[in-house]
Amino acid sequence: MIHCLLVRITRNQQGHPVREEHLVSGEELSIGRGEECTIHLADPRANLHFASIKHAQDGTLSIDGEGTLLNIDGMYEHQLALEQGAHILLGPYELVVENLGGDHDLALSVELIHPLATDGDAAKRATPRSLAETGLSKRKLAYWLAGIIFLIFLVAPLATSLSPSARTSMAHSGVFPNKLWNPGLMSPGHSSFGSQCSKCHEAPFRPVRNEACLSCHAEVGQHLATPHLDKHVFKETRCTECHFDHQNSRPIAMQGANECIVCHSDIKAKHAKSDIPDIHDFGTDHPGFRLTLATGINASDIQRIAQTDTGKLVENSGLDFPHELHVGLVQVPGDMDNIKDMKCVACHQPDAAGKRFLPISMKQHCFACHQDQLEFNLAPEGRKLPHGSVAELSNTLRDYYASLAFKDKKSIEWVNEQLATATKSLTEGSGCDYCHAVEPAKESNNLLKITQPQITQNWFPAAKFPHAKHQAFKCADCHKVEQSAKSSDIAIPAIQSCKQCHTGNQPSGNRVVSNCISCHAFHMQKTKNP
Amino acid sequence: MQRTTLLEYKNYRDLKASLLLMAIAILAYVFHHPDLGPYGGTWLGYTLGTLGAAITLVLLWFGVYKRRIPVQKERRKVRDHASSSPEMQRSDRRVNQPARSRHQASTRQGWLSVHIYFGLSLIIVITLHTGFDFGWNVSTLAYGLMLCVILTGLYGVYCYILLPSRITENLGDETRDTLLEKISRLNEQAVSLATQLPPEIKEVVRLAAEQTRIGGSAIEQLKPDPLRCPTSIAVKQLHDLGKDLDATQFRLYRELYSTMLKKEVLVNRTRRDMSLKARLDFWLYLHVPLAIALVVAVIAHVFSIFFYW
Amino acid sequence: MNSGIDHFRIAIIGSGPAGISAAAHAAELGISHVLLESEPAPASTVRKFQRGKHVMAEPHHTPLRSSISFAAGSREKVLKTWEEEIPHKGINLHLNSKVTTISGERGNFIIETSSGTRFGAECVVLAIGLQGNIRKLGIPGENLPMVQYQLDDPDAFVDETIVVVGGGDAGVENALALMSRNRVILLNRDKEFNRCNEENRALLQEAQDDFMIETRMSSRIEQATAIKESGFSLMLSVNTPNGIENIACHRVIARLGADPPRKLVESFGIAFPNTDSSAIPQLTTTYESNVPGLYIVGALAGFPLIKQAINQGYEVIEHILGNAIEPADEVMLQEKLSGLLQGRTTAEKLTHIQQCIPLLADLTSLQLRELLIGSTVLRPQEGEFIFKHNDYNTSFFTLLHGEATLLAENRKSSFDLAVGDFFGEMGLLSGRNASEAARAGARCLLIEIPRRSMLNLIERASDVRRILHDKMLERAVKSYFELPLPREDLDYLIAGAQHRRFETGEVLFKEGDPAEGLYLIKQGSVTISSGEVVLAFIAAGHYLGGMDLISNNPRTEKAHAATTTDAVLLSAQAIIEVLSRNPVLRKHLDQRYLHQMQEKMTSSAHGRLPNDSYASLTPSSGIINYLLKQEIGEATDVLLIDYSLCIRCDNCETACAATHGGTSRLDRERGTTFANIHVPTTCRHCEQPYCMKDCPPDAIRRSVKGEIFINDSCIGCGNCVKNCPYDVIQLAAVHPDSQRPGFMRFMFDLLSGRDSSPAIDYTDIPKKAVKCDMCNNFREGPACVRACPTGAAIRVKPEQFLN
Repeated sequence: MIHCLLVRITRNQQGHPVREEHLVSGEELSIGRGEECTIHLADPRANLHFASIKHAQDGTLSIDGEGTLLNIDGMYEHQLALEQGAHILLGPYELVVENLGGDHDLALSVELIHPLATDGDAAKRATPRSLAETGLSKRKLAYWLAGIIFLIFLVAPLATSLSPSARTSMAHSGVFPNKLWNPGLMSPGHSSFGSQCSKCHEAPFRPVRNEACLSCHAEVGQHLATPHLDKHVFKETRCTECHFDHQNSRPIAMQGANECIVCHSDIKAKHAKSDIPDIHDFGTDHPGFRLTLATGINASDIQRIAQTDTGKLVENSGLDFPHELHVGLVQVPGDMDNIKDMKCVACHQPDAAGKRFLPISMKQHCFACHQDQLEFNLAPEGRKLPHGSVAELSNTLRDYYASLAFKDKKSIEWVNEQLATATKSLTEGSGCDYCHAVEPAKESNNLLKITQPQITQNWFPAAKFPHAKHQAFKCADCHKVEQSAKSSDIAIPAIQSCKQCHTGNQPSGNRVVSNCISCHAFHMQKTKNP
Repeated sequence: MQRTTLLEYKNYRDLKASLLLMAIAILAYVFHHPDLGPYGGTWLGYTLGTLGAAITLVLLWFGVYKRRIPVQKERRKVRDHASSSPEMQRSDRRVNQPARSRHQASTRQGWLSVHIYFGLSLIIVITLHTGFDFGWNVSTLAYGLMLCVILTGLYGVYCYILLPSRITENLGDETRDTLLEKISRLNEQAVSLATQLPPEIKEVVRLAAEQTRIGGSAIEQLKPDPLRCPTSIAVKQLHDLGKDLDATQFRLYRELYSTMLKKEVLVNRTRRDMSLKARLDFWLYLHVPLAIALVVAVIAHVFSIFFYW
Repeated sequence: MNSGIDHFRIAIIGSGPAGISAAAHAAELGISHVLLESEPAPASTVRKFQRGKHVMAEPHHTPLRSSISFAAGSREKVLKTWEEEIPHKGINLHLNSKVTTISGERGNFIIETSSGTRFGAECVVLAIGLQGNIRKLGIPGENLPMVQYQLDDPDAFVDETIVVVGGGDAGVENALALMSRNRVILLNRDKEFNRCNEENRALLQEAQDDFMIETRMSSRIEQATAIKESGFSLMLSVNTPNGIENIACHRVIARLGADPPRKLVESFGIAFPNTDSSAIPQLTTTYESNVPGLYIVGALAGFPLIKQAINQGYEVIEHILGNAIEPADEVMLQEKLSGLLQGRTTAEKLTHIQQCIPLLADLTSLQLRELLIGSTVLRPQEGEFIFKHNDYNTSFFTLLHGEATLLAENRKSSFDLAVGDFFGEMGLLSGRNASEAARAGARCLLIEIPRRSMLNLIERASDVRRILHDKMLERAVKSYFELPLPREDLDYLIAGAQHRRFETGEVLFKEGDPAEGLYLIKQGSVTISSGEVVLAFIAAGHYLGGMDLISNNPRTEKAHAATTTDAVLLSAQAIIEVLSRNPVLRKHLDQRYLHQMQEKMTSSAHGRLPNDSYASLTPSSGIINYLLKQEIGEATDVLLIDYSLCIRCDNCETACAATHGGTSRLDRERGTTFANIHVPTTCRHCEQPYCMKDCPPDAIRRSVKGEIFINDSCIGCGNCVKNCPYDVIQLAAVHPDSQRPGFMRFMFDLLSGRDSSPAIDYTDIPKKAVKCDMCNNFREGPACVRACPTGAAIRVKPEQFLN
């Protein structure tokens, strides 16, 4: 009979051993998972029957692994006598012989040293249960994102714009960070600058200076004719107030039209002595046109005359040219059956720019029809009189009569007499005065006087009217010349006819919205036309 | 109790305000004819831009504000132990005299509704500020970021309106901890039940017990996949393993099976709770970083504008 | 004079603070005395305080008068000083001698202890306190060292086999506390654990399922013997249903409760004024009871504070010796009453007060002194409001001199008070906000008696209670009729009034009942419903069933108590009679009836009551029933969370913690939920706060605005924590003031994600009870509500949403 004090050791939460003592006894103590075992090991991994403790012949206690090897104090035995303090490993259990003899035959402690990973706290295991626990961090994300943007979109462009060397080096590698600061495509003219912002933006935080523009745009003229006045009025003004770039390649020159109105709506404020009327909008309060024309022969006679002022509005070109006889079907003078159909463009040929027309010239335009007006029948052989200089003309005549006198042994007086009558005849009816305004010759010297014809070439020097853009219309739509019998008539249309198709800044109907610079230019050409 | 939701705070006060703002912006835009067509550089453009930036900053302040602890207007004077003396009773009575100002000047709720509605108004204000010309530059980046922030924000509002009641439905009176408790309890029961049953069943239960994870990576939290849950798998396998058991074992088996089923249900509930809470948080992980990024972009934008004057 | 037993001049029973002090003083004077203690060590009550508890020396400006020293400090410190001093005082201390009987009279008392020992004494001082005597096992070996009757520190025992006896809360809690580190066997003499509360039972069940605790049902220990084998020190033979079981263990912890001292005390022949459990024996100024020569001091005499007890221990000896010494509180009382009747002695002032105020007329001077020490003398300016209506007035006022006026809510009726009259009783009794305002008149002089002192008084002096209730009733009736009523009619009505008490859910009346009369809700609250729909919620201080009375129809609605409710019923025919005698009154009431009728119609037409912002609450009576189940009925202001809005950000908790020294008074997740309404665990500021019931320093107060808060005089005894059924009070070390960081540092913290504020060391700060104080020191209102970004958190008063 073996009496054994069986101490079941379990561990509490703190891992302290908790001893629970029972008394078991039997002839031999079988150890295992089987129900019948006296020392019952509940763990599923334990063998049904591990071993048994029995009395050896000599009465000592021994443990017998019935065939299976037992790990006793690290050594493997089939059977071994129990000694105090022996450690026996049975599957997950450790048996310790605590005491031999004493008031029991044996004190044996049993502990489950490799507990089944029941994993009761599978649920409580430290798996992240919220996004925060997974190590995701808003702060980190934010800093990364912000940092990247900071570097690419702030530091890099700044660096490149501050140090040219950096820019060039970057440009070599084909990156232009400061393009990231480009708020919009540059105007075609400037696009060639590429990433060289400093061409115009010379210094950081300083508005683009006019000098920067003028360094290239040298030819651009000022606004006012009188330089000191121009300085005085525009000393503050910056080019960029009218010319905006980075406008997704809108042409830079065409911009800021209505800036004009800033001054011109109250011009007196800018320049008290100015006599120009105030204007806000072509549609509303644009004054009537004034034609620039010569009232006399000398330069100072060039004046601007309002179209309303019909009294003064006569062009004395020194020619007698009734338009009515020169449009449509026209018979060539002195030739009954030579009829021409004359268009405006026969004489008014557009210039290259398609804005205005080439000047009218005798040779090109008149001569075709009017050459026999220039023939002067002098028998026997026919001779032509030269057109152009009066002196030449009289010399030709003098030569002629002189030659006659030489042949017929006439006196010099006869020559002079012939000459005088001839000259006189030129001023009567079908002579020079056919076209020209002629003064009869003085008695003293027998030269007649022909006023130099001056045909107004540009009625609106301060405005532009691109005829090419108006080809949709016939000339006569605007220029009423069919009924014009006098060459002094002026067939320049008035503002009303423009307004039929054009309106100011506010769209109205389907009329064309036109602002100041549709007709006017801000800058005068440096090379002024006379 | 469907009281005022976070959208209809003070009877849509902020919605009205921001609608008004948008209307004004739109009108201004319609009646404003710059020579070169609208863009950021016109006076209206600058105005809208500045306004937008200001609003952005104010709204960002919400993020800061909501973390600040409410400031204490008047501290009750610190008393010695005389406090139990009758004089104290008088002072108690006095202390609570100041009538609380009824208007809740700065509730988080008010801030949130301002945040939402004026955030939305930015869509209009800033879009008009751009004048619809975009390019590959910092300005457009800022614009894009702003849109992202607002979109994530909208998603957040959607979550905030939709999810809370779902969480409640899912949890009922439980809390997540009680659920976890129950699960681990069931775990233990299952394991101890299984000890009496054939090894293959034991194995299945053990695996389920050991490998069942609740939570995990962000993805796992947001989209838990019940099919890959060891518990569910175990339940399926158990279903087949149930055959050829003797009567006593089968009783245990039935017990075990129901336990596992219970556990599966609980596990799924817990996962659902987790994913709902995760979704409630998730959008912020986009919203906040984007917002910060937006600030930097805006700074860069403004800086560049004035740098190249 | 029988010899064989030794005689003493004074026998002191109970070695609590009072007993020790008395004995020490006696020893000091060289008077023969004996100090009898039933426990194995003196000051058992103080020993029962939880470990490390901070013991306060309240009331702090009463001087300590004793030969033993006492100062505020930790429980251990206090006990240590006493343990050190007692041996040197030459006190004749007998431990483990539990007094069973006292017989005889002055000069010759015979005291017998449970062990049969007998002592003779000329005078007996009872200082046994209120704890009563711990029940012992009553078996052989009950006094073995390893058998203990309390558990100071569960962590003191590791790896032991411990048998816990007793299925009550104490026993179960001890077992639960011990199980983690020891093998615990819980013995219960009943078939199941029905004497412990729900929570404990649940925990125990779990513990059993986990085999953490072994239990033996309907078992009791037969005997305990000390053993020395295999590390065990005790062998118990336990009588279990299946026979005797021998359990070897290391110790036994028996929690069998205690016998309340009253029975014992009465057995000594001492009379109590009433059967109230908290009643206190009648005593003279010299602490002498109705049994001549038998003196009572300490908690049993109604002085729960340690210092008071110690002083009385000293005084009682002086009294016995016949030395007239003025009570220790004399000084306080003088300064308190310095206001009135200059140049008179305190005694004269007291008598004057009793003459002026009939209510206090027949108090013993002890009671009066105690009352006045708690009270304040007020001299409000003429016209100053003592309290306005809807204020929560917690104290009771008596008019000592001059005039004062009470104004009814609508300022319609007002009546002046004469000297000796009192007011504020309604608020006091109902715990509701005042329905009338009180305004001081000319040369007004008031005594303000705080809630607790007054409640004590009411409990002790029954006639005070009667007067109070009659007065309250009279006022109620007056303000109901709004018009002056002839005296005899008034008395007639009051005489006919019946007090009714309704338990929660009990029905006052249901549809179809005859209109038996007019109810005045004194305390608690009533819901009125028709069918399932709750129509109205009537709080204390209001009337019920008046309309049917006038219309003389049977009841159209059902009324039941939302919580335990005291109501007064004025019988219908009495009122009808009175009305028939006063046609003017009749007319007035009829008009009011019509008016109310209209209101009712309009409001029901709108489908909801005007001006309530939580209208959407009202329709679903399911929710209301739920809330009533949550005992919202007895709350005055409760925090609800709309879970359809709550985004679980727990800002409410953070804000609460941030504004309250780092501990949140609010647990958002804990609590019940119903259809998206969540009732989180936080104070609902009950009408009749459980926490106030037993607060030694009277630190728990109700402010004018109605919130219950704990002021700095809390001694951290934890009574309120125990008493609160919603467990919303916790003991926490609160740092004096938690400053919020400056903006820059805040931003830095925010950006760096670190908290740079200096860590506070809470260890040396004494723990005090903390609870929601509704942020009463914030202008903008509760932080939790303000912190809620979605407006899910709302604070509501029951009337607000139940109506």
